[in-house]
Amino acid sequence: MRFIISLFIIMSLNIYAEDDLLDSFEDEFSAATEKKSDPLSGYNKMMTKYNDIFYTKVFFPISDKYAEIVAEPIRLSIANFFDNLKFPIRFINNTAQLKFKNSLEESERFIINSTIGLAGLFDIAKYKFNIKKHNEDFGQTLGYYGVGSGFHIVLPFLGPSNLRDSLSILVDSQADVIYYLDYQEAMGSKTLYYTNEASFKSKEYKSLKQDAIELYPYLKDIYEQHRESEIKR
Amino acid sequence: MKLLLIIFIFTLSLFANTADSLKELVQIKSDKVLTILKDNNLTKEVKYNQINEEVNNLFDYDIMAMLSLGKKGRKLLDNKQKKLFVKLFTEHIKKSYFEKSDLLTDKKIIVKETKKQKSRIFIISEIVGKKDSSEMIYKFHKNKQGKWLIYDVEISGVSIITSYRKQFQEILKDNDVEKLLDVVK
Repeated sequence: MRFIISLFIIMSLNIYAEDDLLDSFEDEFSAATEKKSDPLSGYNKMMTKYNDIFYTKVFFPISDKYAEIVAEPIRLSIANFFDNLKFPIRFINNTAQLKFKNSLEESERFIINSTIGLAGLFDIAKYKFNIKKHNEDFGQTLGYYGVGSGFHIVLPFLGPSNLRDSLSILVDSQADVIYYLDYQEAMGSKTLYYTNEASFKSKEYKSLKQDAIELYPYLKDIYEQHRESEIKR
Repeated sequence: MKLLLIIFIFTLSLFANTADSLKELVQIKSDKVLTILKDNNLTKEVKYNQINEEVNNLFDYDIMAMLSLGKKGRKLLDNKQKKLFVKLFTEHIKKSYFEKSDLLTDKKIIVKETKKQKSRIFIISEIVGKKDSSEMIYKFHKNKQGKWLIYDVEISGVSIITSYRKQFQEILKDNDVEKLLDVVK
């Protein structure tokens, strides 16, 4: 009874003092803004700067040119093809996190898209059967079992990451078909994959940068927030 | 006792109705914003003004500005500085929202569901692109006048207020308030 009355009073209470109103948000934001140790901050700042120069002066101009030459439907099919090849990574990590329904749907997607979808070029599973992709990687699996992110690391070319996710890239690569190609084929495939991906993200990066007061802490924060939300999902 | 229970249930149903109304409102406003963005006859400036007209009264800019400062940050500013900060931050966030909206021209927004968390209502929508989809959450709170307004927007798990808050914390750690005001300009 007391609980109901208290709850009712809290829900109905409309008159907050300004400070009380603002304080009522503290729980939501204070945990997210807690400071974490950043032992590689010097290196990270430098690498963010180099990566940014590489993205804005080399990588995105190339991918923008690529987007002018290669029509969007073809770029989408290339993205679908590579995405289909990453099925084992998603299947293993969904299963490892006991998300069996997702694993089943991933298997269905792989079978449908590899056959009717012409070797994964078309995402028939999504558009005809409404079976959506469930992105999971080894970093998320570790996070699911409570492994912390560790300190932040900015990887050359690849950008923001952390200790847990960097090591996970190596583990996931064992389940990536491209890993088993010979060196030249793998390099060619990776170049096509990243250029194609970048052709969809050039505008987003420019827009993201506009909100940054300082690029390194900003990119670090949005990366960590994004990964946390992926793990909690 | 019975009366209290009835009032309690009535309040809960009001909460549910509010959530549904906000969901509908977000869908209507999203569709209007997309229509403006896709209109090739409008200049960028006209689009900016029209979008502002559509969405301005949905956002609680005062609260957003104060939340982005954080509790410690708020204590460092006197009332005059706070007023100036709110004004500058509001302009900054309006421009930022417009720039982000510009990325939506070839996308669809589907408002999916509502989530109630304490005295807040979250409207969860999906931005559907040709390649990928991402989640966008509009977070509403009830202001002192009893109006439900947005205090934060989360895109793909990234809270706009948390991002600003961290950046402003960093600035105030090594600089004075004037530097902060200068940066937000």
